[in-house]
Amino acid sequence: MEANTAKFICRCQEITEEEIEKAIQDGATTIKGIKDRTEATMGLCQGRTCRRLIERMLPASGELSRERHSCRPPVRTVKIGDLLKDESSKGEFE
Amino acid sequence: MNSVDAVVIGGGVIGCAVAYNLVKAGVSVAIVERDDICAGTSAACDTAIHLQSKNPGIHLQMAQESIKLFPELQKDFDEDIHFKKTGTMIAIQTWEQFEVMRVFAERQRNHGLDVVILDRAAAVERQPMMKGDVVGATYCTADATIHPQFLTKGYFQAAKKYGAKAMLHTKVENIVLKEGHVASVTTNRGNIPCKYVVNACGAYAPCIGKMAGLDIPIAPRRGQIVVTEPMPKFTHTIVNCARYIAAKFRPDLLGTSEADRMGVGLSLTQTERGNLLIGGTREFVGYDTRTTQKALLYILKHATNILPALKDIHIIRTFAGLRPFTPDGLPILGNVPGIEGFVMAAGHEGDGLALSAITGRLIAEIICEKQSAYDFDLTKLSLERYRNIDIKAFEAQYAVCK
Amino acid sequence: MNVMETDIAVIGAGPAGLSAAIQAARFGAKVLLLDENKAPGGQLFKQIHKFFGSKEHHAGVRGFHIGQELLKEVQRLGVKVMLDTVVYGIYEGLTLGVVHQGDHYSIKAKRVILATGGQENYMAFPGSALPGVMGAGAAQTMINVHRVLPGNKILMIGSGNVGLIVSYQLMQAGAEVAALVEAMPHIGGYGVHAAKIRRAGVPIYTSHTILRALGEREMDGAVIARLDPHMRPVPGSERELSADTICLAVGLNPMTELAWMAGCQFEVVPALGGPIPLHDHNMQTTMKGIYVAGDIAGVEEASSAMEEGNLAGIAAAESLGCLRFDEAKAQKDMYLNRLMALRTGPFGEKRRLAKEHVLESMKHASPGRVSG
Repeated sequence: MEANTAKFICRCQEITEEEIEKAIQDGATTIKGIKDRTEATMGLCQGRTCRRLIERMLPASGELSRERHSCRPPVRTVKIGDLLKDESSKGEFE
Repeated sequence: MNSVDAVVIGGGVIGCAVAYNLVKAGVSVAIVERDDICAGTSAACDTAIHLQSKNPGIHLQMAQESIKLFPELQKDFDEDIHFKKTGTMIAIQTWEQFEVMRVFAERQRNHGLDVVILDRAAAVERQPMMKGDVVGATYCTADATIHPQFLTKGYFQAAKKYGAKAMLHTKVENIVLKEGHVASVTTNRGNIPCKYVVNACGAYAPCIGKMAGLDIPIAPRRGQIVVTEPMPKFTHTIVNCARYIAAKFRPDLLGTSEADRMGVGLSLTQTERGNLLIGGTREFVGYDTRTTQKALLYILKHATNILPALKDIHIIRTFAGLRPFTPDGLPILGNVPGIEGFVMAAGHEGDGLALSAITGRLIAEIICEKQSAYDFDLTKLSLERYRNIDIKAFEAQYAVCK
Repeated sequence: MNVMETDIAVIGAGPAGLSAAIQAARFGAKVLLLDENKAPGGQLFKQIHKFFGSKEHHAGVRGFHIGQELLKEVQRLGVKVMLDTVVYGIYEGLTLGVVHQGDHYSIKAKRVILATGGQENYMAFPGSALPGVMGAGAAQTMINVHRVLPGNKILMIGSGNVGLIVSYQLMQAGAEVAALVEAMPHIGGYGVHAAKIRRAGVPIYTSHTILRALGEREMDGAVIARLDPHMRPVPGSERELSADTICLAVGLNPMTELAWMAGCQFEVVPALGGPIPLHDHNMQTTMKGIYVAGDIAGVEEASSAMEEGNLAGIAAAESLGCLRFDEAKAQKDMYLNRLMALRTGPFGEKRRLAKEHVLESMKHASPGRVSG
């Protein structure tokens, strides 16, 4: 898809408005429903950019469609090596 | 409400697979799901379709038959399910593990699975990233990967295409029986008269079972997974470790450290977009799907011990899913004693994606009372096999179904 | 993994976080201030214009100077400051997962003040993924902090204060602003800022929207159109403009991931930018021990962020026994009055009502604990 003609809602995963509408027709009423059908919000920014736009496309329910566990650690990317820095030399199974 | 032949309760990969197979066999179906498709465990998996992790016997047999069905399914689905043969290497870290894996691999070979044992040099040659604390590996080319949500969506959309009715955001309140037969399912959107009810609720199957007066020994077993940024091809196969196998089948072989008690074992797969999914744990924590700091550390420490290059990669998310655990590690499929029309299709602990295809087939054969195309001993999978279980003790031990 | 403990962890060293840290430390709490940026001050560090308002609100002082003054005070009070630090998660028992310059920390806090601020809203249209399309705040950082022009000919979408101020600053930096486009029939920001733009000859198209950005591998133009009273583009009103950059100044939304993760209850309040974590007069959320201050609690301005930070700092310190009830009440009443004063006038009134709504909803919410 050409960058200059597509309307990307999720920039990280390049999911178009059309794909999201298709997911809504398939029965999605929440961000998670859109996510499972299209992979939107699963990119590097984890929905920080596109979540609001997707919420506006969902059938209005007046209720928040976000569950607690949809916001998972890490809220920013972190390097595996940094998380393991200063780990004791003791093995993880000792 | 209009009646249907079968109400399938549960919109996960198993429920959708069953609905798809039933509707194709001419059975009218309503999928009743309290939330949305993939609301539970089906959206909390990695991409592995393992043969190499299956117990030789009916478990492996079913997986071998199931995996054959995916190419056919892809042809019938409108969207890509990303089914790909990748093979699996199971990293072996100690000579003790080597002996256990050698015996396991031999049993698997006797059941027709082509598994070879490699020494460290041969393993690293095939899998250059596996340069860590490894003395050897078992290797099988037959395993595959798939997209868990797209597979579920595939079954769901195809089932609807063939006429299944989808009732999402619909909560089952009761299973109504008349003289030992299923008569209808009561929901918050009305009563559905039906002849069959399929309980495909995974970790929540016991709750539905209670509505029909059944004790179902299925418990939630949490698995935590870490997701990395997308990257170029990192491994040539799925990568597991011997501890993963032990945590699944022989937790008695594990030690007593915190990581052992959490059932930490390696499972590494890569998605089509390039994200690595690094697992995982096996924990009995009730229905808690949070991820923990301890698990994050142990999973990553263990993974980098086997694949050191992981240290330079960034993680973007963690998630957790509840595998439906059964005491013998086999799913509960088929008719139940005393109630005609109530069919079980749950308890696939960690094997739901792999066994979804064969489960769909078998349930359709059972409901249509067709001669099975397979020679599985279904008594090994029946709820009846648990008739003597102390369900109160089971529920107390594993914090089941509130 | 290094294990640390503190009384109060303040996440975010913008105006709200700096203020909260100062108040809590003044009364003897052990405070740790964390920020993911290399410099403190949040949005202040790129604000080159002089603030107006009262003396307490640093009238006449440039934004980044305010940030520096607050930081000096923080350091004078002995607050431990960790910059270039990512709080990647909040776990049970108010334990923070933290990565600081390549080292991993697990920090157990008695109280947490979330002052993480807001982030820019994105707008999607065909071509919005082309190089050259960015947030107005991002452009402001580029020119004021990094001294780099994002482009030469800018189309600004949005005429709120951010759109107006950044347009002016882009011109000061040497760029040409082709036009401002505003969906509403009237300009969104203060008249004084709009006047500067108009005097420079920049057209402001109210009741207009952007239809698409043009260009092959990077943008070189855009198509805008007039909107009818129902906010629909009027066919035939399309106008093509040449521009190499589009800045989106279409509002901010609270950066609330940690509050969601901790289990705080939320309510959608459009006047404050989106989902807001419910909180009381002490700025405490539905999760006991977790406080919020600044844009995370509703997008407003730096002045209200500072006052909310003051309030949260005092309240958190009070809950640890660092101040007596009457002492704390006197302090909190002062800050609450200052917040009232800030939330007046045509712009402030809407926010005042929205904040009152949040407090009202909080009364009906069910409190919880960040526990197992």
